[in-house]
Amino acid sequence: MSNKIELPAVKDDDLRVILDRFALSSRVDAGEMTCSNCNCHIGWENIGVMRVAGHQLLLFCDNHECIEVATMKDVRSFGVSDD
Amino acid sequence: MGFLMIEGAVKILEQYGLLGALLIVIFLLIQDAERIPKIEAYILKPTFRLFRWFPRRFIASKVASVSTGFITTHLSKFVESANNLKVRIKWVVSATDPILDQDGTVIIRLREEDDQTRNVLVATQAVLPYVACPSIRKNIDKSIEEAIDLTLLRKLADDIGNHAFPVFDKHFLQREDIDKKMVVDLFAKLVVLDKKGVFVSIFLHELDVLGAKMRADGKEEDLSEAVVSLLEFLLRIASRKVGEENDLLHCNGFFNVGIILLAKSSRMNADGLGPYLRRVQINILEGCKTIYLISYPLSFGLMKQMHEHVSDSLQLSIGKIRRLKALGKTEEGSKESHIEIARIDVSGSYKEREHDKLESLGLEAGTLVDAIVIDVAKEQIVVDLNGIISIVPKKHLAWNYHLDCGDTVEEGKTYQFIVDDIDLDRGKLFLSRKFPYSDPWKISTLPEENDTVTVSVIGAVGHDLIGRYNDTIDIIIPDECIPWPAINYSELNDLFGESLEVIITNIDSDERKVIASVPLTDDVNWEEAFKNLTPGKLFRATVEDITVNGVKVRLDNGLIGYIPKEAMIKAGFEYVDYQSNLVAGQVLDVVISKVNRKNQRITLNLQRNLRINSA
Repeated sequence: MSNKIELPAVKDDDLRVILDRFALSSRVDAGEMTCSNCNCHIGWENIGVMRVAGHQLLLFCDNHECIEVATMKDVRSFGVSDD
Repeated sequence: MGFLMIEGAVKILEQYGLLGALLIVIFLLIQDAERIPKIEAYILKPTFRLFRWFPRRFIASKVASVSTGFITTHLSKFVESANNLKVRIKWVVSATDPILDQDGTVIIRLREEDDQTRNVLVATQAVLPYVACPSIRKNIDKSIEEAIDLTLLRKLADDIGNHAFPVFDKHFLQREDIDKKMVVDLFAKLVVLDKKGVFVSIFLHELDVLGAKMRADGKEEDLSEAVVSLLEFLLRIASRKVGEENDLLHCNGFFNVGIILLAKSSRMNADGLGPYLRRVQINILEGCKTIYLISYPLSFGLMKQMHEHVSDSLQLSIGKIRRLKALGKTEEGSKESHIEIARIDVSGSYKEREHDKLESLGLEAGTLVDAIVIDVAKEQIVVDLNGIISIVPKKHLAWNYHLDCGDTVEEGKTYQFIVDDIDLDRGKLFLSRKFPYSDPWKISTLPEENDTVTVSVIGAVGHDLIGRYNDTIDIIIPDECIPWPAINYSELNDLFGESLEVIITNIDSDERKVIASVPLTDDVNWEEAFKNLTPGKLFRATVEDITVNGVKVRLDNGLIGYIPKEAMIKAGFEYVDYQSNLVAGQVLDVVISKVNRKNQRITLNLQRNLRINSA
């Protein structure tokens, strides 16, 4: 029996579709978004991780420290199942 | 085995072509269905690279297979939480995906690039909190957590290949925030541990176990200090120089770890497994809950022996021997090598069990017992008495002198022993084969002082000869009681088995020693010549024998004298390397330093040393 850990992921082309759901695409286009950890400017190129927080989507840049913060284990992130 | 499989696969391909390739793929999948992502990635890679076909399938397969492979290869054997864990990518492609309604969901971004290294690192970083010691993470400082993850990612980059390091460096290591100095320091130390093969096998394993225990006990205290302390302990072991003594125990209540380094050495050749087995028992008595046996390439055979004995004789739970990559030391510096590690897990009841076992035997001093000899080395043996391990030094195996334990006992055979002593508190049993009924001092007639007796020379301890009298009593003939006219040092070994006439000079019943000296030679009228011997008197002397300890010469009055090596070296120039530069028959100018009349010993100095002193 193995444990499977499912990691939600999004490809480059699908970013806009996901951000549209949360009305963030236009804000990214306008350069208004910042990283939820380090506050650096977020653009389409440097989006690293997204986290669902209620009805919002938090964006984190692709700096590994910000990815680390975003994937902190004390939030429910992934599905872990037994096969 | 792998080579044979590849050879077989090539033959199938040659014979059956594409159909053969399909058969091989089906075989590999049947053998291990988890190979699907890896095989898929191989198949899709060219089409992805050339045409960007099936990007999601390719990226998902590639990232999942590499990440899972890393976890399986490096973590699952040592970290329970990583055992049997597979990583899968779940694509979010639609705005209506229900996962977007789940609060707390984290979605990583994977890039459509030829080189998937960065994606692999990002994905692995995201799963590490669930894979590598998840339970202890809330009990340690974030900087420690970050340093551990960075070290694991570095290890992954190493696995992927050299081209991964620039990616790792650019996206994970370059940091401008100086407050993260602690992370950098810890990371550097953990990398050292990793290069020595103990980062995952010992450090992460211990964290994983402690974290699980803390969670089971519902404890949330901060363990950062204890973790750093364990790290520093392992670092000292990893950085030790050959022959350096280190404390190999780390017991602080949180981590109770012992490390035993198995080394092929002259000591091991002399003492065998005994000291290592004893060390395992001592570690347990001193509170270790886990003991790691670590061996280096030259002592892999020793590891195998230890593994058997720990399991069979000590009846401890010992895991498989794992061979890991590690940096070894050579004269030129470091080079890639391997170590072997085996972990002994001590159950809580082991100490009590051993104490009870020893107590239940009902032994007392003087009891006769039968025990099996399980290991024979030059200086000691290891015996098993109904599951109790005892180490018996050579001197306790027989009343009389013997060169080697193997002269008196054989491995695998059962012998009778007498119990000398029992230490229940320390779980130690002292055995001997010196039975009262065979004590030569009781059953034989000892010579008396000043008796002249004939002995058979049976050996030497250093330059002291050992002679056996009447086949029972050993007599020591100390070096200083061997007159130089009688025996050359270089001829000592030739005496073994020969008869020698000696005079008993001293009998010490407490120490059980009979001391004798070799009578004086009569090739010269010593008494007459002795009258003219005074310290400071000058002579010309002819070299007769050159040894590592000095030079034997014959004075021009016919007497034998001796120039110690220290005097030779002090003279400087060609005398420093006197062993190479002097020859028998050479004439030297000497001066008497002292005279031992009783043993006909004349100690000499070179006259040039007097000139040096007065200069």
